[in-house]
Order: sequence, then C-alpha cells, then structure tokens
Amino acid sequence: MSATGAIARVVEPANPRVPLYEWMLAKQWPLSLAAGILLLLGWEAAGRSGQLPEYVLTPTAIVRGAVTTYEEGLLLPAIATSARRLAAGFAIGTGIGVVLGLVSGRSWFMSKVVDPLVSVANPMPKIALLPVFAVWLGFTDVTRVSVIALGCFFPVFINSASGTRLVELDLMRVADNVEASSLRRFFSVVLPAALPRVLVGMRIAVALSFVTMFASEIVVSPDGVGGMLYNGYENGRFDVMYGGLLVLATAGFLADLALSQLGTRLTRGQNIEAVGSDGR
Amino acid sequence: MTPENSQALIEVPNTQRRVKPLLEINGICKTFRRGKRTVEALTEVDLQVADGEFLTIPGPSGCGKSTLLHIIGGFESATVGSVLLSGEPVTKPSRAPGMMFQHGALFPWKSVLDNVARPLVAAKEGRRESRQAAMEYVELVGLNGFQDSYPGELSGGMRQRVALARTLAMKPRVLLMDEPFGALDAQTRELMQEELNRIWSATGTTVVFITHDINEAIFLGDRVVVMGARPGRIVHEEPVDLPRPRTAEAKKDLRMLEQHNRLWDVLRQEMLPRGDEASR
Ligand SMILES: Nc1ncnc2c1ncn2[C@@H]1O[C@H](COP(=O)(O)OP(=O)(O)OP(=O)(O)O)[C@@H](O)[C@H]1O
Ligand SMILES: [Mg+2]
Repeated sequence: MSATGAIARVVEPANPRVPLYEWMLAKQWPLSLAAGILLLLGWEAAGRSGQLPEYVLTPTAIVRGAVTTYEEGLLLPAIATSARRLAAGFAIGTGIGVVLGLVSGRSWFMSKVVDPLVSVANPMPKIALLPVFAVWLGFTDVTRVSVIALGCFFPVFINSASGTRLVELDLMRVADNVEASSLRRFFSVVLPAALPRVLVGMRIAVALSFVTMFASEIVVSPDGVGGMLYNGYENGRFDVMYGGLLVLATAGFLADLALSQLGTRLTRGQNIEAVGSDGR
Repeated sequence: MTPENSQALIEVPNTQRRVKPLLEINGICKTFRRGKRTVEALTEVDLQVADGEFLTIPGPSGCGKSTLLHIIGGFESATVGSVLLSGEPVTKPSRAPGMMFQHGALFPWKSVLDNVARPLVAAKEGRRESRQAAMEYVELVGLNGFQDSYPGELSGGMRQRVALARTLAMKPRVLLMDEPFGALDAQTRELMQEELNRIWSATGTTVVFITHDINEAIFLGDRVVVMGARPGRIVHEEPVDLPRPRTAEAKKDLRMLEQHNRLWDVLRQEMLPRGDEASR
C-alpha cells in the first residue's frame, strides 16, 4: 500500500570478530590516535639518541617540565588567571556578537547601521588595540578581557548575521501559516536555522581568543600561562616554556572539542542535511 | 451578514448540486516591481472552488502558479482583486488555508514527529497531546516507524509525505499544494498520486493542487483549470468525469487519454514562444 515498506534502514552488523585494522578504518579515531602515538614515539626516540638539538625537548621532558611548574607552584595560579580572562572575554564577545548578529540579520535598519562598521573594523588586527586600550584603561585585566572580547565578537557577529539572512523564506512562511507570534517564530525558526553558522563563528572565536589572550599576557608585565611561558624563554628555562606550551595546546584542543561536541548535539538533523543524503 | 443570494452559486463537478463556493478568487492581478522592471505575473484571475472539491491547476513553468497560491494563502498580496475564504477576505497568512510548499519546507532540526506536531504545538494543544495527535497523521501518510528520523535521513518522497502530514495536522479549510511531487522521480510520483487519492478520500478536504503534469491534474482532480503564461491567466477549464475511488487502473482509462490529449493541445498553445504567433 505504501512505498515506505520497501525502504530498509542501514544497520551496522553486530559482528564481534571484526579484524583490528577494519575496526580502525571504520571508526577513524583509532587510526588518528595510532598515528599520533607513532609520531610521539619517533620524536622521543630521536631525542634520546641525541639526534635533536638541546633546545628541542622530548615529549617526556615536556611533560616533566609541566609537572615541574606545578611543583614550583607556578602552574595552577597561571591557569586560573588565564582561564578567567579567556572565559570572560569569550563570553562577553560571543554574547554580544550573537545577539547583534541575529538582530542585524533580521532587521534592515540594524544591518544598514552595524554592517558597514563591522566590515571596516574587521580586517584590523584586534590585538593592535591592546596599547590603545591600555592608554584608556591602564594595563589591567579589563584591558586584556576587552581585547579578547573584541577578537571574539567579529567572527561570531559575521557568521550569526549571515546565518540569519540565509533562513529559507518558506520556513518562515510555515511559521506564519500556523499563526506563530514573531517571538515564537524567532526562537523556533530563525535561531535554530542560523545555529550551525553561529557555532562556526564560535569555534573561530575560541581559536582567536587563545591568540589574543597569549599576546596580551606576554607584554608589559607577563603573567598567566602566556606569561609563564614567556618567562621560561627569558630565563632559559625551556622545561617551563614547553610545559606552558603543552598546557595551552591541551586547553585549546579541549575547548574546541567541547564546542564541536556541543554543536553536533544541538544541530543533529542539520548535520545530516549538510552531509546530504540524496544530493540535495 | 451577507444576504444569502449575494453570492453566486456554483455547480459541484459531476453532480447536479449547486452550492456557495468555499473559496472565491475575484479578478486577481499581480505585478512584481524590481527597480524599473515590472513583471506582470497574473492578470484577471477569477476562480471559484466548492467545498470538498479537488481542483487541479496545470500550467507552463513560470506562468504564476506559485504566485497565485501564495496570494490565496495570504503570503503575498494581490495588486488588484480579492480572495474570499468562507466569505471572509484573506489578507494575511492563517490556518484556514494550509500550504504545502514546493520543496516541503521541513524543519531539518526537528524529527518527523516534531515536524508534524509543529502546527498543533503552535495551537497550544500541549506537547503530549499534540505528539499523540501528530502520530495519527504520521500513520495516515504511511510513515510509521520513521517518526523519530530527521528529514535529512528520508528520501524525497518520504519528505513530501511528512510535509503533507504537517499540513493536514493544521486542519485547514482548504489545502494548497504547490507542485508537491514535482521534484520526485516518475515512479515515486505515481505512487504518491495514488497515496494522495487515498488520503484525500479519507479526509475529504478541499484541495487546490498545482502541477505542470497534465496526467497528474486529471488523475487527482474533480476539475482542471489550465493556466497560460505571460501574463498568467486562466485559459481553459473542464471537469474530470472519472469514477472514484481512482486507482492506478484509472490511468489506463480511455477517457483519461482523450482528456489528456485535449488538455495538452490547450497547454501546448500556451507553451509556444510568442514570437511564432507574431511571425505567422
Ligand atoms: N518576488 C518576485 N519578484 C519578482 N518577480 C517574481 C517574484 N516572484 C515571482 N516572480 C515572477 O513571476 C512569474 C511567475 O512566478 P511563479 O513562481 O509564480 O511561477 P510558477 O508558475 O510557480 O513557476 P514554476 O512552475 O517554475 O514553479 C515569473 O516570471 C517570476 O519570475
Ligand atoms: Mg512554482
């Protein structure tokens, strides 16, 4: 009677005896992990057999360096300081960026006022404003947070605005058809439709926020993780320098992972759409 | 209150009954303006649809079919003329005319069930109740077992079933369908036409159905109204006297072939380039 009966769903066979290499190829992440481990082992071996210059530490020495900074009581306060700045800057910049972006995408007037300002200001390296802000506000955390926030604002704003503009007209008409209020239409159509782009903006922002945070921590009076790393360089303590680098790399990786996981969860149906199940 | 006799009575196709029209389209003209250029999309369209009637409108591509349907649905306004639904003028979108869009316009971030439940939730029917009611429509269109899938996981035909279920869930006074099977492959389209005949018999809704396929127009309709192009207008109208219920067998009926040929002659004239006439 109906055509759907003939449509079978693709089910993974529950075979417990899959060869290891097939499992690795199917899951992908074991393959990446294996490649990473091989690289680290090679690096370690090269260092131990004296084939690397002395300023390139081996992976174990870098981990030891990070542990040393912890034992010397440098690491945790540095992380606390940096995390506070990063979180505040990211939250403020992203928050304002999302709200203004969504409004500007929907409002003709706002887009005429804000968009030109953004396109003029965007190409300028935001970190260049650090000295300017320092003159206005003194070289305080407020200055650092402001620069981080500014760096986050632009990618989030631009992506939110364009995501909002790209909402299909017919989806809006469906909402009109069921007599949805404009508030409801915004939250149940505009926002979810724009969300994938908003999240893209946020991932760019997180990467940028590490850059601006680091730069703002190594000038004038170095502190935080960036400052720790910089001081390691100044004092010839390579273990501290590489230890700081390890912390930054790990934190950046985790932040990006968290955002991409959040994104996958929030935009489930849309990801399928993006991959395209029937080439549309 | 309008006096009883102010509205002209129309004849229900294939019966001797004369009733007041449910939908009245009076002298609709629509002109689009883009800067200095103007496009005359519709001119002097008059149309009456009886309660419970299935009206099909074939017409060449770009002749203003979608525009006409958008005006009936209240999504666009006519330059001249009026649309009356149950005697009330249509000025903005509402639930009374329920629209099924050319490309489905499903919310990709919602499951099948939540897509269908959307009009019910918007009517503040409570989440539990609306999902229960939505399930009945999912079953009506033959999608049991797929209620938790996302639209991106479905085939084109299944998506149109979802769109149909969602539109039916609005309980519209008139169902507006804009080439709903136009993007489907030939076989799926045939099946969907038979499905629609079955569903229509079960619900008895008034339908205005747009298509570019003459066979589809005859197979589904009680009455066929052919549109011509540049500017869009009605050029021909005739009832379909094939017995219902119509199954695949009806497509082999000799009367269907005759009617197809007759309507195709009309439509062909409309699809010829205008230059041909001028040079003759
Ligand atoms: N928003 C608009 N602005 C300007 N012109 C428009 C607009 N919408 C439609 N038109 C024009 O009006 C005419 C009719 O368009 P419409 O979409 O109604 O045609 P259609 O019959 O639905 O075509 P198709 O069969 O391809 O779906 C076309 O010439 C089109 O270019
Ligand atoms: Mg169209």
